[in-house]
Amino acid sequence: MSAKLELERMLAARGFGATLPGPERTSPARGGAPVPAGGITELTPSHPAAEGAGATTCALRWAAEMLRARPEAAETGALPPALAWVDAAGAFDPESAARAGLELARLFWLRGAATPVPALLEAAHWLIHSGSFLLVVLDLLDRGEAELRPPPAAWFRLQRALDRCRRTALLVLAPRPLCGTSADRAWSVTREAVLWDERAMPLLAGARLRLESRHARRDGEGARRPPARAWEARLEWEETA
Amino acid sequence: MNEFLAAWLPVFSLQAAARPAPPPAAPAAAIELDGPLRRIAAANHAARAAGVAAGLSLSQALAREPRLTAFPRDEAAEGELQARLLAAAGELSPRVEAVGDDAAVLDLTGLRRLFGPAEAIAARLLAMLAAAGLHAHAGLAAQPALALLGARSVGLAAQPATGAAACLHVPDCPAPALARLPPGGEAAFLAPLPVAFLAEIGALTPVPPEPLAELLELLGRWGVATLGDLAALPPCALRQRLGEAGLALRRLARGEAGGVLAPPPLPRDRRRRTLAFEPPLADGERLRQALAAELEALARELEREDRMVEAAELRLEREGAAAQVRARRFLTPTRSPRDLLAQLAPLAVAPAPLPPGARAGVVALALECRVASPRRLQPRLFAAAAPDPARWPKVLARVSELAGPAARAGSPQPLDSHRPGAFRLAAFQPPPAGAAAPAPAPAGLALRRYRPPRPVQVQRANDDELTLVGAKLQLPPRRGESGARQWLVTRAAGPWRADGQWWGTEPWDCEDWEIEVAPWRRAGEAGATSIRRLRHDRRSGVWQLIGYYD
Repeated sequence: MSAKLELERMLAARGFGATLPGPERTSPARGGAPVPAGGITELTPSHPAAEGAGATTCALRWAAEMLRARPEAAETGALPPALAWVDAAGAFDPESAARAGLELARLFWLRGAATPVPALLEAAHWLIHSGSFLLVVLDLLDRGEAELRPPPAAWFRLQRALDRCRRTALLVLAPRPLCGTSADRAWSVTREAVLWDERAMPLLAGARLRLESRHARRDGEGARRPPARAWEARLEWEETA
Repeated sequence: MNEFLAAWLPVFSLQAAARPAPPPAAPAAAIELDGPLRRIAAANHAARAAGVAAGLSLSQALAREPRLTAFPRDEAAEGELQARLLAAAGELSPRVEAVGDDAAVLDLTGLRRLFGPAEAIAARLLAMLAAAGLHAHAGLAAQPALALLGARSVGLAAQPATGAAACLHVPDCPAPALARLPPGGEAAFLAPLPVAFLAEIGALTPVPPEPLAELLELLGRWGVATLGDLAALPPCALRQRLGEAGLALRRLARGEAGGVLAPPPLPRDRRRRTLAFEPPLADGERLRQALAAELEALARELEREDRMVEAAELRLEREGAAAQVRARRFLTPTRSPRDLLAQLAPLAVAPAPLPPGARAGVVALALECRVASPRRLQPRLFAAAAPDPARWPKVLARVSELAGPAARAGSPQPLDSHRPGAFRLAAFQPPPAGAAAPAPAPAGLALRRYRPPRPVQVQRANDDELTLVGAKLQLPPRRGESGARQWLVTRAAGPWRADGQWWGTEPWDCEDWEIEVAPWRRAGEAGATSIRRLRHDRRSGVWQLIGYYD
């Protein structure tokens, strides 16, 4: 155990735990946040070819919740909470984001539909490195398979940058798993059903989504946990359009 | 023991008016307009010796001294002169009080370890003022008022005191000089000085100006010409006749006056510097050097006050051309003279389009800076240092540059329009942390937009315009594909019609559909469907896929 971790634990035992930022307890089974600060969270459709599995809806909801929680009041003084969305496909819809409860004034939107994926990864690295954002979303959905070949060790480098910052979370939206073991959390999302309201005239009522945790690399205490099904959790809700 | 150093600029108005040349030794005066008359505002010793005094009209002054050189009074230059005086004083002491426009008093308490004895500090101040082009005298004493009296008395000792009026004819010493009032010997030093000097030390006099003028007039009628005469008056009798004010003046004349420095004014949020060139500068390098010198002085001033430059504006006046204003806002506030010069020099030396007949020489350059306090960050033990929001623009600019020229970045702001999807990208400036969070809105399915929208052909299953169920959508083939893609609409909600701007140049009239589609050949398979938004432009009749719900 590192001396720093030991010191943090000693201080926490004396009631100073609230001042210590660190990885959040992220398992839905524990009721924590699904996107841990200081790590990579990956969210993919359950099937690579599935268009409209609900990944963007989940990401927007999580982003809105993170901004509303505003942990900056305890940890970062007067720094305004903010979110960066690196949009690799130019598909981001501000109306949907506002409808999901996201405060658009706190959103930095980088539109890079024509930008190579390595450049977007570098941009995400700088955004993380700045320490100014609570969440950086790297949206690689809708990018072709040939483009999804990041430089070697890119995810490891991002993970190291997040580990140093500890305040920022990186959420990667990708058509298939990309981050490998660098991801602290990996979720897959499935659209189980489309909900239509047929009472008077047809209305799109929403969709039923199912989230599954594919693996979790470590828990809130910093110790490694075995990946896997022991951490499998489901999160369901019904969306209203 | 406290020590105070006073610096005084003799013939202040004339010094300012004659800049950048030094104060002339020949008869000279600064004149100001008083209605239609031009009156003498200040005159140097040679002019005063010929009978020229402040308040005379220019014609009266010329009648007394035909060789008199007149300079129009320049209040802007006077303000700049005072700013230079205070800046130089502020570099030596954190406690400085401006006395009038032409003098400053420094508290030297605790400065010995930094700069050496008081005489060394005084010599340093005089050298700094000389380097800035200011002609000054200094005085050292245990009290602020005494120090200023000492500075104003420089050169007087060489002239016998024959009376109050004669004593005011202080020769303008060609070189900076220092007068020290020795501890315990202040009364002896002040004794030969004229009583009228008490009106020359401004706010440091213990009596307000109007009663002071009356008292000095009364003392003059009594035959009290010097401070020594005043100090010799019996206190009881003086109090009976002049009251407490008389006693206060007597204490000052005896070198017993106390005094504290008034706090300096709050730092201003704008700094102005003006450079005038005679002859006009046509050489860009020389202009750059002049600007660099000004920025060095400004940086020292800002360092002393712990302020940073947020934005700067350069106003260039050229021969025969209108003034040009060039502004620069700094992404990161700075006070580094090197950074400031790197940003501002290209603005100053950039060629300007000139009208026919105009010359390129720069006559004047005015620099105005908007300054602010630097942001303080409190580091924490375990957390990474919180970033400075002032550096956000730099990070965001770097990220935008990384993303390439076609990429755009900013914060989306919905427009005040009913047009679907109308927004603009604004500069990213998140509200402060304390701002209230918006109430949670009902969540909905997120739309992923196609930019640009994808054209599609729609073949309805029937003639019913109110439904699309059963319609066939045909999309152009993707790159590398041979045939067109075909979808079957299995569910549809709509149409949602919207129109606007029919009165303007960009009218729009469309209807949107939310449709559930399945590939034509896999229409019956579970999980093969997707939800999309379809738009029909009613003006052109074109169908487009706007995006899909994800």
